[in-house]
Amino acid sequence: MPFRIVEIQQGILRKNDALASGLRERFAVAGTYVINLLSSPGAGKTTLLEETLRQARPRLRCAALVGDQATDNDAVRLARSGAPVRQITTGPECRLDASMIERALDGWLPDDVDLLCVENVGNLICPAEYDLGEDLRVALFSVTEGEDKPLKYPLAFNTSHLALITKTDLAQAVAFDRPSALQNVQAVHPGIPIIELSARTGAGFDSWMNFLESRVSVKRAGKRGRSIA
Amino acid sequence: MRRFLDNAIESYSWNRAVNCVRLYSGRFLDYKRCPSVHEVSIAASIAEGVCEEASKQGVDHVDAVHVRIGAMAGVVKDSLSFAWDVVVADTLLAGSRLQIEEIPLTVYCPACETERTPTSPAILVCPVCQAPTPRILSGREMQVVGMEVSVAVPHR
Ligand SMILES: Nc1nc2c(ncn2[C@@H]2O[C@H](COP(=O)(O)OP(=O)(O)O)[C@@H](O)[C@H]2O)c(=O)[nH]1
Ligand SMILES: [Mg+2]
Ligand SMILES: [Zn+2]
Repeated sequence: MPFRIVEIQQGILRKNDALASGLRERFAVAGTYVINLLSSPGAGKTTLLEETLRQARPRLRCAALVGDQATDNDAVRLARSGAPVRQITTGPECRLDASMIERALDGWLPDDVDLLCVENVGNLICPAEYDLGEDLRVALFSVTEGEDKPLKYPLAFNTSHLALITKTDLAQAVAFDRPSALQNVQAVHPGIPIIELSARTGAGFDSWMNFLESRVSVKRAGKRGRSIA
Repeated sequence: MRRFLDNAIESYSWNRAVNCVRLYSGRFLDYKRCPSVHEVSIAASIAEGVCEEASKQGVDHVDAVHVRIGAMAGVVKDSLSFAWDVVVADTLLAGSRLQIEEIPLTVYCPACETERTPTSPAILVCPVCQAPTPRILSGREMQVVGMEVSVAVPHR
């Protein structure tokens, strides 16, 4: 049978990308700085956020969204900080996407939030593909996961703006090879800033908080009023 | 005819795709871990766009769909092909072939001032001079290119 080719030319994730642009615009108007945390399960995302919310409040108005395939345990943990927290249960989907964020925000997120923390589903593959309208994408891995984590998941580290090496209090116990870990991060994303920290001992946590707070204040200062073109 | 198409499109909403993921994720999880569910999502996104386009053009059967996937896109080709057959069943794309063109990773080397192909997506250094090469030129693509449709032979 004769056939013809019909040209289409469209990005596979264009719907997600369009929704993410809409979210980014909305966060720009509100002056809300948004971070998206990516890691394997257990790297320490929730623990990092618990401590971040504790230290940032009440100076900064914070909120958190947390994605998991099942349970709302992490939301319960984060809600102890007193910040508004919402769980997104993704079921079979192994990542958050922009439509999930949009649905979760509706009628929930106060206009005056300075910092919205999004904990993605524990997974370094799928979440890397989906823009959530965030300002800062952070890829985390803990010293217990092996120095070659970035090499195994290059896209996640390549699309992130910051790499965090967590649980440094355990480095010695697991004979963590720090130079090789740093080198591997740089190999997948030349020039990316790296912060090493422990939520347990607090080592390195100031660097993280300073990094975050300086960016939050820039975003807040640039807050776009609706009346201003 | 139009009604049939509209219904086909309607039934092929994103919800349907997601249900499909739900239905089959158990199977995929056995077959391989998360990445396959990931490829189901990607397959559903491709199918959704192509179905819309097909309906717009009044096409009721598609033989093949052509996509371009970059080497760094984090999509496993075999998983995507497998997911495709599952996702498009019962849609107007049923039985269509997914033709995947893989786009190699290329980067710009600031030292050599030219395009290079790194030895691996995980090592973004120039294979010639070893300079770091943060700028990716190709390899991140996730594009639908087009569809092959049969042209009915008119009755005489
Ligand atoms: N020793 C140590 N353990 C940590 C640290 N951060 C997190 N953990 C532990 O690692 C486990 C997983 O942490 P969690 O925050 O739930 O990881 P998530 O799955 O990425 O959200 C928990 O048992 C935490 O107590 C740390 O800095 N040091
Ligand atoms: Mg968690
Ligand atoms: Zn070079």
